[in-house]
Amino acid sequence: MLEVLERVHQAVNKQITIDGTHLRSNIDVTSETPMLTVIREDREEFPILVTASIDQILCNAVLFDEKQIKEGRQIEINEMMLQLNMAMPLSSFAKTGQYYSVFGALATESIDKNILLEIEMLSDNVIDALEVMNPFLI
Amino acid sequence: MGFLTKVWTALRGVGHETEGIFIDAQGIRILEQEIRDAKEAQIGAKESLTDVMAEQLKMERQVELTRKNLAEYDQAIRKLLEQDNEALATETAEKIAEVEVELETEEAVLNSYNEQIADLKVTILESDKQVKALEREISIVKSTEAAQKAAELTAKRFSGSHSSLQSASDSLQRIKERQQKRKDKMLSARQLLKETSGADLKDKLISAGVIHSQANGQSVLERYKVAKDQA
Repeated sequence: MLEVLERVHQAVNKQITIDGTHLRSNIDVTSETPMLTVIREDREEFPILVTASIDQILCNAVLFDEKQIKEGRQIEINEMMLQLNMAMPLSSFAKTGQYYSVFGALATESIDKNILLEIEMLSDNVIDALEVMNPFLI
Repeated sequence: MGFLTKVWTALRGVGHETEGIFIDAQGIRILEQEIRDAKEAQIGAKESLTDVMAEQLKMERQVELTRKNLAEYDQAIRKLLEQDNEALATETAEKIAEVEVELETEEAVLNSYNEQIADLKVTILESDKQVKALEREISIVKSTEAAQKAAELTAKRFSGSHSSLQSASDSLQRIKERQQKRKDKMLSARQLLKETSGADLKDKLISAGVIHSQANGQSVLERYKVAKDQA
């Protein structure tokens, strides 16, 4: 699946977003499953991690650890994520283990333009999501 | 069991104690074993298919031979009856009865071979689909697991020397401040550009009413109307 990630890397690295910020990416091949990290220069706190499988390219950005949710507000935040899920363009909410995240999945055959759009949109969605969920966070 | 059901079972099994391992190595090993089993079943089915097809061919030839025999006896008995050879005709009729039973049995066997072949072909096709589905599952599980591990790494990287994770709230605040700074910088850059190009003086003169704002369509039209009236 490394060749898929290399294609994503080519599509994303050193690209400039609509609001003029730079994207950079690099591939980590040291782990068992290769992974690409994409960072938007002004949002380095929320890197987008890209992995590839036979069918799909998975782009995932961690929002927060569940420990960061205010006492007793987790049910509300879960409800909010489900309710907002469909309204969020190109991305969806997810939870893996204790981490909440926003992710997008693309077909491995996706063209460069769509890959870039996915990543840019995902990054915007992270900020948007954190803004709406901020009242529930510590 | 559906794929999501499997994932959910694995999640409930290991998710909470190990704090977020998506599917353990054991889970992947089980899926890999399932693939091996499906592939073995497929090899078995393919071998049976070759065997049955060989038998089917043999039986087809046998049926053909029996039919030919029957046709020969059929011609013979007609001739014998023409020749009024009652004795030999009776003997032949008995032979025909025997061969007819033989043919019927052989055709039944041939039919069952044909059915077996169809069944085996379906089995092979299905196990082929199953292997592909399982391979997809492993691939998805592995990439999702990698995403999860990456999430932990990221969390650790940004958590600094303290054990508590950096709050998303703080990060958001910082990003917003950074964005505001960027906007301010762009605004002042634009301001500077305006001043150096003299646009700023013009703006001041306009607001002081010294010069009129840029000509618009209406004012040009008025000018022409006046010129026309004067002519």
